[in-house]
Amino acid sequence: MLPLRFARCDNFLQEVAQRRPLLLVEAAQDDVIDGHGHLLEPLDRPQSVGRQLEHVAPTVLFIAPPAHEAGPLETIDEVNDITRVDADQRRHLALRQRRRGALDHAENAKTAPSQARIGGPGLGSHVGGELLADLGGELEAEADDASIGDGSGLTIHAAEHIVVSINDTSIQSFEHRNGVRPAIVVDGLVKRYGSLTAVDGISFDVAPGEIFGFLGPNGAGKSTTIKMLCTLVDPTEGTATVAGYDVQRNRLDVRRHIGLVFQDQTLDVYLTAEQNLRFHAELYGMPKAAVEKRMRDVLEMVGLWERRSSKVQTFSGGMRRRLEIARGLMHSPRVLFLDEPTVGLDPQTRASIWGYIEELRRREDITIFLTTHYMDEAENCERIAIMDAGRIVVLDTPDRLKASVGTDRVSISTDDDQAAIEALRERLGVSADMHDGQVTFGVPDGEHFVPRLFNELGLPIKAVSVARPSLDDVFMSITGRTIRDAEATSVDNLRVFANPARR
Amino acid sequence: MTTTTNVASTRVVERGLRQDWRGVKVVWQREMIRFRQDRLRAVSALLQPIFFLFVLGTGLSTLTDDSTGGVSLRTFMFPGVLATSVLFTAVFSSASIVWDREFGFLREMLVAPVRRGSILVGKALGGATVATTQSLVIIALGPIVDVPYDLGMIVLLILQLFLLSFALCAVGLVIAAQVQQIQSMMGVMQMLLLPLSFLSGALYPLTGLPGWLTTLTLLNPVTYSVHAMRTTVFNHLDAPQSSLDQLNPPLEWFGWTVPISVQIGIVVAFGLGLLVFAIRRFDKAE
Repeated sequence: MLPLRFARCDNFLQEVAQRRPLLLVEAAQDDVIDGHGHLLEPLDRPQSVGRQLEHVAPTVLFIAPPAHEAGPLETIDEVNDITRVDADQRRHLALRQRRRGALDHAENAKTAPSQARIGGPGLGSHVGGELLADLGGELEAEADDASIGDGSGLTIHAAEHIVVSINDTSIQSFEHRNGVRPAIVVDGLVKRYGSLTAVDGISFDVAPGEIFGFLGPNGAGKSTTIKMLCTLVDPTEGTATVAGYDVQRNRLDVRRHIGLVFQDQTLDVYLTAEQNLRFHAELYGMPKAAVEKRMRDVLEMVGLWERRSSKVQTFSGGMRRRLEIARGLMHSPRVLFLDEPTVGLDPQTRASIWGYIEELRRREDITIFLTTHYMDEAENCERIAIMDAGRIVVLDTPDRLKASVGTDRVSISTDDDQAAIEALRERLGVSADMHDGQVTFGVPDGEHFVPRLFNELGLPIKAVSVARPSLDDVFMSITGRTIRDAEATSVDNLRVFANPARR
Repeated sequence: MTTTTNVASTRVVERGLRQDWRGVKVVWQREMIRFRQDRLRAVSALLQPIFFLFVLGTGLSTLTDDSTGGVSLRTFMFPGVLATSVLFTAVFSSASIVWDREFGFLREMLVAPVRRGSILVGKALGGATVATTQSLVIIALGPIVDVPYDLGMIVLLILQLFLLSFALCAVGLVIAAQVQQIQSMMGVMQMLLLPLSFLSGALYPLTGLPGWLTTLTLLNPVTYSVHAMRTTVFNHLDAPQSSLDQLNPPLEWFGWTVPISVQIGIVVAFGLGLLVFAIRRFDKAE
């Protein structure tokens, strides 16, 4: 039995979170939650430990790996007890828990901590490394398994699940106590159009203040997901809440809390830019006093202030897009949905829009949910869910996603690509493929591979490029295709289901 | 450490009637802006009733002068022409919601934090305002066809025209809720507008019609509005009562004379009923 000291749990958790972004904490009275959903802060005020110990905050931590890695589960029930629950059992319990909502009574935690708490792979993985608590105590828990931690180094292996709960008589639900609840909770969402499944059972959470991105090829189901979250389309199965409201039962409440920039144009082209914005401000009940300033802000941001009195029908496509974004930012929604926000915009405008979004988020604590199929845009996100064919294939921070690839991407042009692929396999032991018209393969440390390539390939090489892993490589490493490949094959599918939705 | 969470800074839109009223107001205002911008639409919408009144009316009156008992056919047609003028404008104005859908703007309204009902109410009120405003031009032409300027009569006419337009806007909204394309909207409207106007007694008296035609006209809610307006106009004419009665016979259900108040009630109920239906349709998520 090895002790886990909560006083050092911060380090422990940080370490875990570095490896796995999958952490949910039901935290307590005196703990600290980063409202922006960042990692647990180090316990940097040791003198507070004693004080906080007195409160013995009820705290639950939960660390879950992605579903596909689900292995045996370790729980630390109560303070000294450890039970093993297998993954299926846990999932089952988690589902029950989620139906019941937040924990009501401390008794539940005492008698059945694993039931009383937390979500399953779904909830764990969507909240991800967002909501972490400073445990701030020196309570000891013991683990009977060295694989959980060695007591000092506190390492944890990727596939482990740990639930730590400390019982107290005043456990309240996490969200009630902190006023923090996930901005978006999606659970098993499915959308079918006839025989076509556009969204195929996705689950995730988005923390308040987070910038969360959906990345994937056209037709992956990103826009359909947004439409479901914005109450424009009813899910076929599953549930979703936005700002705490169910998208089917409380549609009006959801709409009160969101802003949306659509993929398709939704401006009134017969009105002027200014009229469009005023109309929007009025529909969203903005206070009169705020409208003028805000309108100027957003119009200057997108460089349309001078054109505010022109009718939108005189605007070019890019200008309309910019106006549309400006309009979406007019009011300050809790959750702002941006569906392919900067498609077709020049880099400068994109940068200015992103600058404004960042600013807005800092000032007004807006949660941003965006879809994109631009890799560079996705990198603005704190976490990214990569979607393919209606499913989330992976969900993590951009850095960790890229780190997970582990190889650089090398692309070469040759006269005979087939021969090159063959030679790569035989002489260099590298399996290559054609992507975007080039022979492409991944190797660790690509720069040092290039000299070998020239020496050993035995074929003339016309051009070579080495790229650090990008999100596109992440997509490729997971799905085996580049996003462009995927679009080439799914465009027809897209047409089938995009039209009924796009009325 | 202290708690650092603070998510309350973002304003959340209030809910309730005020917000819904705001929705009605904005949509109405938008209709007004569009109306002011689109002079051509106003002119073209007036062309047809003016043709009915002055060309058709004048032409046919050579045939009918002997039988209308001293009342000019054009005077007779005046209230009917008023009704047909709002008929076209109102239904077309609702049709614009199909445009809005096709060009995406509808979605901007549908995700707004206002009840969808308030958007449709705003649309119907806007369309009714536009239609009624346009018909003022025809009311102004009244003296040319021997309909005098009388403040009481004009106010009454305007009120009745507004109610009729509102009901017709609701008709348009119901169609708009059903169709997805502007082309089909046009088709359905053409199919509907003709019977609505021709079966209303707007252009001919309902006296002595064959039974089947009488039944059809009584099924048409516009009939009740036309009759009510014609009664309003005829009350201010200087003509023998007998010929007025002959040209504007009371509407009867199985021998029971339908009072004017009930007639107006029918128009209002018809409009509200269809509006509720349209709202239900729009309220379903796509």
